[in-house]
Amino acid sequence: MSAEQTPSERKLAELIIESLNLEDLEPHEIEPEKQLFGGDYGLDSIDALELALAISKTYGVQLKADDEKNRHVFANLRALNDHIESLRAD
Amino acid sequence: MSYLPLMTRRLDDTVARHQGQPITAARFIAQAQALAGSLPGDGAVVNLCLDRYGFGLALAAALLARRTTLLPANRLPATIDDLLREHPDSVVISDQVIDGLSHCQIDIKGAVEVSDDADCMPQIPADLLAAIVFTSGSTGAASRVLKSWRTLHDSSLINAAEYGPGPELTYLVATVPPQHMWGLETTVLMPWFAAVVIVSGQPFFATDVLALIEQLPRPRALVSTPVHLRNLVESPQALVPIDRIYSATAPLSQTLAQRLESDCPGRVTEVYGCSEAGCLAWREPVREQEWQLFRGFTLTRIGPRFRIEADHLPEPVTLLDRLKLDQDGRFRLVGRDSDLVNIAGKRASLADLTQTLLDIDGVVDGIIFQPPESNDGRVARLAALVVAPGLSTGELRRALARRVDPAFMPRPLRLVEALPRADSGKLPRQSLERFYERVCETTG
Repeated sequence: MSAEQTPSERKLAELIIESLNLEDLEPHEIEPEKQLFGGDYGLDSIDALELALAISKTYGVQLKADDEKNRHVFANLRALNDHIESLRAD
Repeated sequence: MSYLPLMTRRLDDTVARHQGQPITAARFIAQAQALAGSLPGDGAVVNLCLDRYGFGLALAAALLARRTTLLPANRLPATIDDLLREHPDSVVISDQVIDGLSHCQIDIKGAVEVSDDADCMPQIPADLLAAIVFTSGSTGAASRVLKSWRTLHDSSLINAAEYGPGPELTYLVATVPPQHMWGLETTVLMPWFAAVVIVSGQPFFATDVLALIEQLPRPRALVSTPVHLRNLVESPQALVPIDRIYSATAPLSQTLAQRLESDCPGRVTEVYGCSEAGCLAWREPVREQEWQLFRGFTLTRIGPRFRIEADHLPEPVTLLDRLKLDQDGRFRLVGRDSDLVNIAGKRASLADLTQTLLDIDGVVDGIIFQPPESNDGRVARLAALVVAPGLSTGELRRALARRVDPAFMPRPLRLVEALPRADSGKLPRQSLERFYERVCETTG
């Protein structure tokens, strides 16, 4: 797995920064496999809510947190991006 | 010694809905008794259950075992470690094993498997120290609020009478954690004293909340916060009927309340309180701006502050918010002491947070403060301006994230060459705000 962002991951990183007011962070600084919430980025559950709303508006998909598998999709940028892409493919 | 019942519900009343199944008071009590019997030693109980049903069971078990429940302000490993160091004989009850904790941890699942029913209502000593609620989210000395069983019991009866959904059995869904006072009083204790069935779990995204509510019989109610409610209203999905909507922890805008009342539709009630006194006033933001104090409470002005008193509170509580009292006893909230901030229901001192920042190696000067509000309905986050020549913002953020609850993580976090301090070394609010505005403009 690459530590480089793919183009779609970059786009999601930009959405994360914009929707969570993280202007002091550059999109490329969000490492694809680094823990997104509760870790070094200092993001909490309210950020997860804001982000889910931004994702639903931008990508037209609804995130759920109703089972163990879905908790994992918020683990890092890559997992979240993969999950959004799989929802869009349905 | 005087005693008060664990619940005022009947044994065959449904008090919860757990994993889709109705749970009677008798079953709940039997499960709590089993858990109480399995607790080692005689120390306090640190209740870290995330699931609302498990949390309620652990609280009831602690009461039955005559133990005090400790409720830390957050789940950061450093917070839990400190708490356990202070209370070395306590046991941790959790529904998810916490890594790296050497302490005795009890998994709640064993108790849930009990399928007996209790045949009488347990009585709890009124003066038992039922809970210690820790309120500070930052590193400074955590303030602790002591709750006797009498306080929790009586405030639950007052809450049920003042803002409870009424005599018809109501299903309650919540988006707030059970550990903090709002969630504790309304989603854990209210079902023990009012015709309410609490639905276990904590649905998170709008999709989850709506899906869970939709499968419940009516009347049904939602216990939430302005952040979660705005998220629900702005979500592209259609709302479902919700008969009562409760909001607390931050002011709910009238616009949002109106949208909820027209789109859900449901009656929106806002509740005001603090950890020290519990819930103490309510209003319906669509129809009024003034808060109505609960019966049994009295407000007294002491200088610029207000003191609240009630028979069930051990001592008077000085409110942190500034109030404007009307002649008819109603009041408006008009701001709060500037050092104390409340973000997403968590409280911290800006001075403590700034000290934490200054304690980081390489930080020469800095301040964490509340920037002017944007009023867009989002949670107002803190901002930080830091002088740290050898550090990057990334390194600073990492260092802070280890020490500070994410709710208080400053954003933006900006590195600057110097703060606009006056010759006296003071940082006047006006210069700080002007300087901050310029920094934001130049760095985008």
